[in-house]
Amino acid sequence: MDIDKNEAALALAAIDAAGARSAQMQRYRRFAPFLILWGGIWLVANSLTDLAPPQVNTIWMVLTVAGAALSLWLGWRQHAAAAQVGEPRGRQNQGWRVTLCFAVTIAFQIAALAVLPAADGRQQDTFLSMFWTFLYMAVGAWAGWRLFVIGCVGTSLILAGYFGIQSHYFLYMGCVSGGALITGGFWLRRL
Amino acid sequence: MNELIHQPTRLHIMATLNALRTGAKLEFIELRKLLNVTDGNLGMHLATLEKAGYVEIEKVFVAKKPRTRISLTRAGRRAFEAHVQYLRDILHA
Repeated sequence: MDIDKNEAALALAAIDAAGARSAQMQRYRRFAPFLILWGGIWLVANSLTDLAPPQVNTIWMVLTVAGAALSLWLGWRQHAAAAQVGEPRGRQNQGWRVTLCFAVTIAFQIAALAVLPAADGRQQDTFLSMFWTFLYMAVGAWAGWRLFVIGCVGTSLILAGYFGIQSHYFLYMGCVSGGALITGGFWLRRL
Repeated sequence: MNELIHQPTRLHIMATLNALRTGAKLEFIELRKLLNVTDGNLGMHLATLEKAGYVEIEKVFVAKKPRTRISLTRAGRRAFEAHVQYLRDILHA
């Protein structure tokens, strides 16, 4: 059976579309554990901040370091899994790239808070949380619409809380913002 | 032309599996959702591809539940790439 140019073009377009969908699913699955991890850290850190405000610095320092270490471990695990099946080097490095992006972002946040005028805990928490949700939106523009939606919902919830919740704001941030990230992470894992 | 691969559903199956990393497996249910086909239809086309040596079908039990995992074989990847090249050649002829 011979085919003409038109049929070849249609077949190639179908191949591209199927491949793109499959690749997007893989990107989501690689990113999902990071989202669930940091959603959990946000949930615990904010809830503890609400319960024990004097311990705020210790809580955030310990949990951020733990989150960074677990992110490195997740990146290493993805890298090792890719290397084990003989994946091309460019793809193998994706796990490390995600981890490096997290590290760069955390470094930026620390630098930004050092440079900006002194902010109270509520403002700092909002700034840091919102930075991540905006980042998810920006990354989502490239990696997939679900990530964009997660960022959009997260940003809306943070702003609604900042302007609408007066007492137990950190508890709200932990449950709603952290919960949204965890839910978003599980959503990314679903087809 | 590889007529076995060129059939629309099988072409989608091969393209979806080819986009996975080498050796990676996709659950039957996931593949069915990605392709939006019925169990019977997918099963029939997978059997054809397996017979040709293009895909590997593995049946395992996870928490006492049967799971079917599918991956592209080396021969399958090579055949798919050759078919894509054939299509490109037609397009650019």
